[in-house]
Amino acid sequence: MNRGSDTVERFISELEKLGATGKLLKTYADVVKHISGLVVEKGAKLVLMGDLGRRLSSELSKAITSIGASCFDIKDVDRRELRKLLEKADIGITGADLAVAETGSLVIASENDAERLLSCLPPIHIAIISKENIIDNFLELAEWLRRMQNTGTRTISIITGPSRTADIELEIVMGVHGPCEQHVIILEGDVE
Amino acid sequence: MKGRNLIAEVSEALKNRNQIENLRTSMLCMRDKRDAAMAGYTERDVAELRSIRQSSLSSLNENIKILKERLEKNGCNFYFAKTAKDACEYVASLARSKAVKRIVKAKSMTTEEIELNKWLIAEGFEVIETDLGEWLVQIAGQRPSHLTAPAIHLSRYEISKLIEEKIGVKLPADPKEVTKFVRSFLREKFLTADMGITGGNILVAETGSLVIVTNEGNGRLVTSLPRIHVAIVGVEKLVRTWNDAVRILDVLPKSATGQKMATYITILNSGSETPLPNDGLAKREFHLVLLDNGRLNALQDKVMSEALKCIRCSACFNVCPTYSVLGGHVFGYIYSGPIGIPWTYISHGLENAASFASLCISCGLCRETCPINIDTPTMVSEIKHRYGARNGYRWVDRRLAGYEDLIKLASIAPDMSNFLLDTGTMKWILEKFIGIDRRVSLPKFSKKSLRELLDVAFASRTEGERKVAYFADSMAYYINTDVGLAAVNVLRKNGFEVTMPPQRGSGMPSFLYGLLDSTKNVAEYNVKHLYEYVSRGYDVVSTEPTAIYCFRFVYPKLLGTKEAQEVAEKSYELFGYLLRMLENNKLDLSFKRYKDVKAIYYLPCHSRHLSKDKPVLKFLEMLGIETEFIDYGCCGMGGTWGMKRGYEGYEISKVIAEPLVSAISESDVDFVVTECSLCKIQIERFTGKKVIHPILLLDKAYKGLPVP
Repeated sequence: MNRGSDTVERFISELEKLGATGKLLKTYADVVKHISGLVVEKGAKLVLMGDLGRRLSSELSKAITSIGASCFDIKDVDRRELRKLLEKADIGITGADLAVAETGSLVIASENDAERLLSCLPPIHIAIISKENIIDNFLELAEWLRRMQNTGTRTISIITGPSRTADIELEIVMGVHGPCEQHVIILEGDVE
Repeated sequence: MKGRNLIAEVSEALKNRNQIENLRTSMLCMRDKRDAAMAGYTERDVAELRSIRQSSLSSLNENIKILKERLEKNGCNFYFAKTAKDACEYVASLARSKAVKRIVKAKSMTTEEIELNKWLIAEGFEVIETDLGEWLVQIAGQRPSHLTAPAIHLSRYEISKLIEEKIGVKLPADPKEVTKFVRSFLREKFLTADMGITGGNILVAETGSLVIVTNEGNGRLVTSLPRIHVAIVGVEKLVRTWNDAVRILDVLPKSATGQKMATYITILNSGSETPLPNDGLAKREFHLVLLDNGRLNALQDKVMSEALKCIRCSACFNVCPTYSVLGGHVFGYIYSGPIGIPWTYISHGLENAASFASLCISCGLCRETCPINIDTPTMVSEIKHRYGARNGYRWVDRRLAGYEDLIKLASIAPDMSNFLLDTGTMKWILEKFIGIDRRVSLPKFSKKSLRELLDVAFASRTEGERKVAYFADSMAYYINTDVGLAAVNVLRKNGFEVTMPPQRGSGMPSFLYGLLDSTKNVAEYNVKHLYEYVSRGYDVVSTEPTAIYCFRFVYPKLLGTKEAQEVAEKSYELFGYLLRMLENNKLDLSFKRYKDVKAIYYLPCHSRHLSKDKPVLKFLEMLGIETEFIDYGCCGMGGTWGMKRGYEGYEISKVIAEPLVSAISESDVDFVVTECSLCKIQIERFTGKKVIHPILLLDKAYKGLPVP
């Protein structure tokens, strides 16, 4: 896999063309700071996270709670509360297994639909991806998709920018049924 | 649709000026976005995608077996529905047995095809479309009019009025406001639905996976919130491997909407666990209904199986001249647009397909724009042929199909014919008894045919090293003989030995009206005579794009012979041929350069495939003619189609031509340049500007004469 700075630059530039944002960050502390900033800026009251790894999840949770918003990892939520919280969340934060520089796409395999709904229901989706996992071209996905669909029954979502429509006179409008905003954070190291 | 009155539907549609303007602008915009996104897509990519689709279809039965095994291993329900009724009954009975009340749907033309909503609503279920365009069409009580933009026929004003009328909410005529409202209106429906129904863009046999492509995100919600998910997918969507699938996924959004990638691709191979309201996680039931409904029959049909290769990108809609003014409710049954004609044949039968097939004017743009080069024109002609063979051909179609014979007949006494054709009585007779609109002014016959003129010229023939067989086609043979003479002059000037083999008109008129036996006869005759030269090392060139289009794309398929194939491979449009000589430094450049001459170049539809690089433009530039290239797609003539009386041809043809006509009329150019002799008639009659074949300009330039 190519992880050169060209790949990252291309990925970010594609995201921007799609009306999303992309940011390359070095450390967890940077990520926490950046996301906290977004939470304040968007006035979010409820933030849900999933599939992030324990350390990042707990650091984010601490930071976001300290600025006065509620923040939970869906793994820690009482399952009977899960649906209600997902419906109410202002921001969903997820990891991503892969990203495709050529198209500005995120590829996310979800163990269950609570995870998947994190990037469906809230009006804002924040994804965190390790720089290592950005591939250059869409066609390179074939092998990975085969493997993932062969082992287990996960649902895979390939997400390219915020939700959009052009159904009325071809005018592009963002945020129909999915998120209106998408922010992608590229981490220099591993997302645990 | 038995008893469908297409003429009445057309005349009604042509009154709707707002819709025509909106649709036309939208289609041009979609076409241009698509072309930009597909710019790097080569002939090799076309061939590759075509072979993926072909091999998927060839191994369809095996793929179905693998898919079924994989899905059942993953604990999913697999149901093979032979008919539309079987599919609807399966879904309805499932919904009943699971006490379903509310059903949300993601956009699916396959469920439109089987009219699933009607069935479910009649059984008492609440069914809600969730794609914005589909939802609008649903509340309007209409059908989608476009594959990827279902509500493209509605304006923002109509939409805001519609929502006020049906939902009781007053919204400004603003797509943003409407979208915001629909988001919250439908969100509640998603959250409370018991069943989600989707179609599917691809099924991947090797892993038993369903692939759903959407932009809005409704496909994700429909497959993640309700406790039951049913996908209804046509068997033709099956591919064997993920390598095949990603290739299709790579092209589909580019060709459909000009997006590098669609916003959401959802891939699933079972129902996963979903959080229920006030409850824990529960596994969703997933049912795959694999639909036949005519597809497996079509697979055995030598001509129609071609349609099964379609990936439903809808690019052909955007370039179809008649669709772009009439819209999908007239140009359609349930499936609409060009590929909708064979698709209607496959799933709704010959009668319904024939009910709108006559709107196809065989411009071939659908074929040219298709990422798989699906030969829709041949399928449409075959449908006209099968319908005509069963129910008789229409009188006017038979006469116009024999248009080339009529020309030949009339040219026996050109003076008499020219005199008669100008009289009001003859025009009345032609309209009344043949069906040619009286407003069409037919071109004048040449006093001598090209053959007679050339016999004189050939007396002084020079032996050339390189040899070409010139194919004139009817118009240059009997009417625009100056074009034929100029072509021969220019070729000789460049050292060619030029021969004109025995020939009949290309047969496009009979192909257009589905009289395929006549086309075949003509094809056999022409191939026989051209092959005699081709086998001796001659190239075939023509000044008529339609002739080369026929040699390349129509004859080989109709005849299926080695000779037809060889003639096809050696046939060239004249200017493409000259450009190749120029590139090889073999073109005589001793021609005059003009100054202060302005022209518009119009690229004929039948040239688009072979002359993508627009060789004529290059030559006009060399001649010093200041040329503007305008591209509003087809001029609407469709050979003889635009001559047909009233709402059968002429009136539609005139509306199709409007943007082209106004661009030409408003310009200050001296003349229009195009190769096609029938586009010439169309452009001259509506703009009053002179239309010149480029070979006439080059010929004059070689002779040092002023432009004609």
